[in-house]
Order: sequence, then structure tokens, then C-alpha cells
Amino acid sequence: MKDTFLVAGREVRQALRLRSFWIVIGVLLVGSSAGMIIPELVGDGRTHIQVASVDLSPAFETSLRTTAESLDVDVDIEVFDHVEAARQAVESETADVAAVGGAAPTVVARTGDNELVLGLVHQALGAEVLAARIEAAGVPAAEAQAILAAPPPLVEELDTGGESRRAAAAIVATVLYVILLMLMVSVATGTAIEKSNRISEVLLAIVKPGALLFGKVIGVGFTGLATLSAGIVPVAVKLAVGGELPDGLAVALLGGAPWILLGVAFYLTIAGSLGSLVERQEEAGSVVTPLSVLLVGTLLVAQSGADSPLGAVLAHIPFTAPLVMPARIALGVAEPVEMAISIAIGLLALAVAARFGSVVYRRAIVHTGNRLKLREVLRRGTAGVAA
Amino acid sequence: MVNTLRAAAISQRFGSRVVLDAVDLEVPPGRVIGLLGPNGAGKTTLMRILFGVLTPDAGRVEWGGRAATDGDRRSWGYMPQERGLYRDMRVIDQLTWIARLHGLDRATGERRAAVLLEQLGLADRAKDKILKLSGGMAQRVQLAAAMVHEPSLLVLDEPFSGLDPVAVGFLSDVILAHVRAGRNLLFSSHQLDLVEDLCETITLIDRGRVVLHGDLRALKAASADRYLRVDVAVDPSWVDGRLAEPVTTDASGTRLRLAPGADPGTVLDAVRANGTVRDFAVEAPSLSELFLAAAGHQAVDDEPELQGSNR
Ligand SMILES: Nc1ncnc2c1ncn2[C@@H]1O[C@H](COP(=O)(O)OP(=O)(O)O)[C@@H](O)[C@H]1O
Ligand SMILES: [Mg+2]
Repeated sequence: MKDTFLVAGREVRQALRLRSFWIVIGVLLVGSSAGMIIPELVGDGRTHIQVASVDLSPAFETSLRTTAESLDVDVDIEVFDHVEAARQAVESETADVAAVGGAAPTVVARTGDNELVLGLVHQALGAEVLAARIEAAGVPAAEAQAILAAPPPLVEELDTGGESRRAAAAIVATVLYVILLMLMVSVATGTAIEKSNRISEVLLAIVKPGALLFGKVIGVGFTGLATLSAGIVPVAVKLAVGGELPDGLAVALLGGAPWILLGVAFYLTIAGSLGSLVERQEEAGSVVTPLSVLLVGTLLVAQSGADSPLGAVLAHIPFTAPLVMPARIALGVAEPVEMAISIAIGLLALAVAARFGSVVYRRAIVHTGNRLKLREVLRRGTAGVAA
Repeated sequence: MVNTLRAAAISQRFGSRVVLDAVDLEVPPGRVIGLLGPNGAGKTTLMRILFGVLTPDAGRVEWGGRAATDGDRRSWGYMPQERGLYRDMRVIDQLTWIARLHGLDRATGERRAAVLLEQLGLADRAKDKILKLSGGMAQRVQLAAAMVHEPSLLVLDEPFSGLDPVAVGFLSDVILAHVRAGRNLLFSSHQLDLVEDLCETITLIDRGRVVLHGDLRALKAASADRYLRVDVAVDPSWVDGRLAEPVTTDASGTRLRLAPGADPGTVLDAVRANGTVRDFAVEAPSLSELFLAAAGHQAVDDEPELQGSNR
């Protein structure tokens, strides 16, 4: 146990000396901070609309603003003298929509543009026309205004944050994918370097192969998670100061943590043992290719169909659960029972991977001369990996 | 405390190939023990088995009279034939880390590493990465890595291969200092002539079998073979083939093997009748001659170095 931590400690210390480690940390920190801060700067998720008005009374403006407010929409109104100028503004996109009063009330909009905007302005214009008619019917202007200023019906949005949950699921899955991929290559390369540098024989005479493999997995995994947390810190800070996060993001990160840990441990153990098969360091990347292909496929499902039946199945499989389950948690479709079963299977699979990994590693690490096939290593006895 | 390392009836096969066949080996403290034999004889395999890097098909490794444990092995030091260090680690960090793997605490490890680097003449390179060192320096760091925890037993696999004469002398001194301190030492070599003077006790192996072992001087004395060395190049026609025959001739003269019972004086007279002899001696067999007699063939490499030494 102590050996494992000595080995892990060396990995971490060496990583801290690498410039690339700090660069990745920096990039993640900056990127994630930007992701958290920019939405605040550009206006807290509210919609802005720019309205060009021609020949309209204050009643139009009041009515438009009241309704817009109830829908979390900000409105800017610019008054034009001529219809043509207002039309021009819409066409050149300086205004989203133009409202024209007078004898023939008209709403001018670009085809296919936001229906919400159109609806808002249309309704306000209708109110304006109505006010004019009421006035024309003999009701004093002030009274007409009062009638029309009644608060509009409340708008209740269902399916809260569906889109943003999808986005959170995709973000978490993608970040995990990238990190898993990077760490797998790093572990496999590390093992391959130790083998080709022949340091492994020096070490094997002192410590058990398991301590070498798992020490490396823990060390590299730890640096990887430290990197990941550089991306999470801004999210956590924003959460702590009460800022608004995309729905599902915090949940996916917190609730998904067990799968993140399991996934890192599981994949890195396998990658480390595969790294011991190669003869030269440059081959280390190719040895994890099957795993990365598997991860790409998993990522696609996690991004687009984590809540599908397929997603539900994949959430139970140790190879795919690390990406799919946090995505399902983000989408809010993961059931507690399903999570418990998935964790149990994941732990079991980790134990199997550890056993498998140390057998492969122990047999392959002292074999030199040619690249080994996994099958050869598994078939032959202790050291019987003859050339 | 001093102990004896004993390997008993070690057998190992790779696939269908028997690489070690019931090999016995004993390494008592205070003596320089050489495990000698041509390339491919099985020396490296045996050493890997001693350290548990390989698990043998049969046989026992004992330390102090009982089966060697992981704890025992941790107190030993091993310099593998396949030299290897983390190239991007600083010398002092690497040695300290290895010392800690051997169970030393960090402070002790650092102190030991510094002392050792001083002894090996590397004190000023302590903070350099290994990849900045010359090959010879890296060799010494490798030796330091095997000794940093003051091992009770030091095992060196082919420590002399590739060394220049100065480095050979230096390493011999390190080896002698280790055994003079009453500790155990085993080293291997396929260059029998190079290590002739260093070995006190030898185990000669050939194709996985022990062909000769014991105290080198006693083995030489016990051999019935005698050689006459003269400082002149001898032509085979000078001497009666039934009495003696030249085995080697080089710049310093000729070595003749005397037939059993032949009188060295008669042979010397025959040589002097043909050339001027200023220096001569009657000698016991050399290490390689002992090997030849025991194994029935020369101790030259009987296979190219397949495994490993691919550098
Ligand atoms: N891992 C291995 N797989 C198959 N054959 C091996 C392996 N290691 C060594 N050998 C073979 O075992 C024999 C003994 O090798 P080795 O112990 O390295 O000899 P030495 O150290 O005396 O030169 C050689 O024929 C070598 O090719
Ligand atoms: Mg060898």
C-alpha cells in the first residue's frame, strides 16, 4: 500500500514539473471562468427586442412593456416619423420589428423571425387600436388607459430547462471523454516508457507489479482529476455566490462524481496494463485505440440519447456508464435503483479490471524483443511469454 | 546480521525451452561470488528469479536458512543487466525515491544518496536530470540506485560489460569494499578473463546447468591440467605433440598445455632450443580453461544476445 502511494506520489510530482500540465490547468480555468462569467455580462438569459414605432400613442408602449416584462423580455422602442424609415430599420436589422399605427395599423417583421417578438408587438398594437376605438366610442382617454393596463395573463413555462439540461449533459460527457482519453494515453505511454527504459526491472525487484500499475493509475488519475477540478472551480464558485447555472450542470457534476471516479480508475487500469504490451514508446497510443473508439461511440449516445432506452442500458455497462450516467443525471432521468445497480456493477468491474490488469502487466512488463498480443499474454503461464 | 543466500534446484522453462535446469547457487557473506557463463546460459533469468521478478517453475530461494520473503528482498540491491532509470528525473530525486521504495525514510534516503554520489564522484551532478549525464555517469547512478539503501546483498548483472578499464577498476573496488564489510555479493559475467582476478568463489553455468562451482583457487589447484607460459611465440613443430601443445599465442608469448605427467622442464628445453626465453611459468588453468574442461566447449557466446541487450 505504501509502495503504491510512493509510486503515485512520484507520478504527481513529475506531473507538477511539466509545463503542459499547468497549461492545461490554465486553459480549463480560463475557459470555464469565461463560460460562467460571460452569460452574466451579456444579460442573464433575457431576450432583448428592438422595436421601431411609427405614429403610436403611449398606450402602445405601456402595453408592450407590461406584457414583455411578464415574459422576461426587455424592450427598446425607437420612434420613427415615417413608415419607410421604420421599414428600413427592420430590413437592415437595426430593429427586430416595426409597429405602425394610424389608419392602417401594421406589424413589419422579417420572414421567419422570432414569433414571440411578432406576437408581443402584434398584441400591443391590437391594444393600441382597441384603446383608440374605446376612446372613439366616448370613453375618456384616462379610463380607456386604465382598462387596458390590467395585468396580462401570467405565462407559466413547463418543461423547465429541457434545453439547458441537454446542454449540461453534453458538456459533462464531452469534458469527461476528453479527460479520459488524455489520461489513458498518458498512463499507457508512462508504462511503455518504463518498459522501454528498462526501469521496470529495477522497480519490480523492489515492489510488486500491482503497486507499480495501481500507483501509476492513482497518480495519473489524481493529476487528471486535479485538471478537471480546474474546470469545476469556477462552476462551484458561481454556485456558491448564488449565480444561475445551466440546469443540470451542478447535479451532473456532483451526482456523476462516483461514475467519474469509477470511469477514471477502470479505464486507466486497463490502459496501463495494455501499455506494458508494447515494445516501443511510440506504440503506446495505438494500444488504447480500441478503448478510444468505444469512448467515441459512448460519447455520441451520452450527448444525444442518454435518456433513450439505449442510454438506460449503457448506464449499467462499466465501459459506457462513466459518460452516460452523468448525462442521465443531468437530464434528470436516472433512477436511484438504476444508480445503485450501476455503481455495484462498476465496482465489480473495477475489481476484475484490477486483477486482469496486474496479470497482463506482470507477464508483459519483463518481456522484451517484440510487441505482445493480448491473447498471447493471457494464454501463457507466469513467465511463459517466450519470444 | 549476516546471512547466506541460497537458491536450490531452480528450474525454469520458456515455452518448450529449458533455460535453467535444477540450478543451485550459494552466496555466503564476505566473499565475491561470480555467476559465470556464456551469453544465453541463464544468468539473468536466475537473478530475476532471485528477486521474484520471475517465478520459477521449480526450486526455492532461501535467505538465512528460510524461504526468502518480500521483506528480505527489499533489503537486497539489484542492478539488472538491462540498465534503466527515469531519464527525466533528477539524479538525487531518483535515488531518494528508490531508497524510499526500499523502506528508508526521505531524510535518510536523501542523506544516503548524497554520500553515495560523493563516493561515486557525481556530487556536482546531483541536481541534473539523468538524460544530461554521459553513459559512464549514468552507469554509476545505476550502481548507486542498487546500493542507496546499504543492501545486505548486492546483485550485479553483467556489471562490467561495456566499461572502460578505469571504470572496471573502480567497480572492482566498490565490489571489494562491499564484501570486506562482511556483506553478500553476487555478480555475473560472460567475460571470464576479465573477472578472473576478482572472483573468489564461482558458479559456472552453461545452457542452464551448473558445470562447475567452488572456491576458484581450490578449483585451480585441484585441476590436474598444467600450462607452461613462455614469452616467445612457439611454433607447434618445436615441441613433441605428445608432451605439450600450444593453446594460445599473442604478443606476450605462448601458452602450452602440458600433457598429463609431462615434465615442464623437458618442454621448456625444447622451446629454448628454438628461441630465446626470458620469462616463463608453470600455471594452473585459467577460468576460461576451467570452463572449457568442464563444459566441453569454449565459453564464447553460443548465441547472439537475443533477449534484451538491444542497445
Ligand atoms: N522472457 C523470456 N522468454 C523466452 N525466452 C527467454 C526469456 N528470457 C530469457 N530467455 C531465454 O533464456 C535463455 C537464457 O537467457 P538469459 O538468462 O538472459 O541468459 P544470460 O543472462 O546468461 O545471457 C536465453 O536463451 C534467452 O533467449
Ligand atoms: Mg544476461
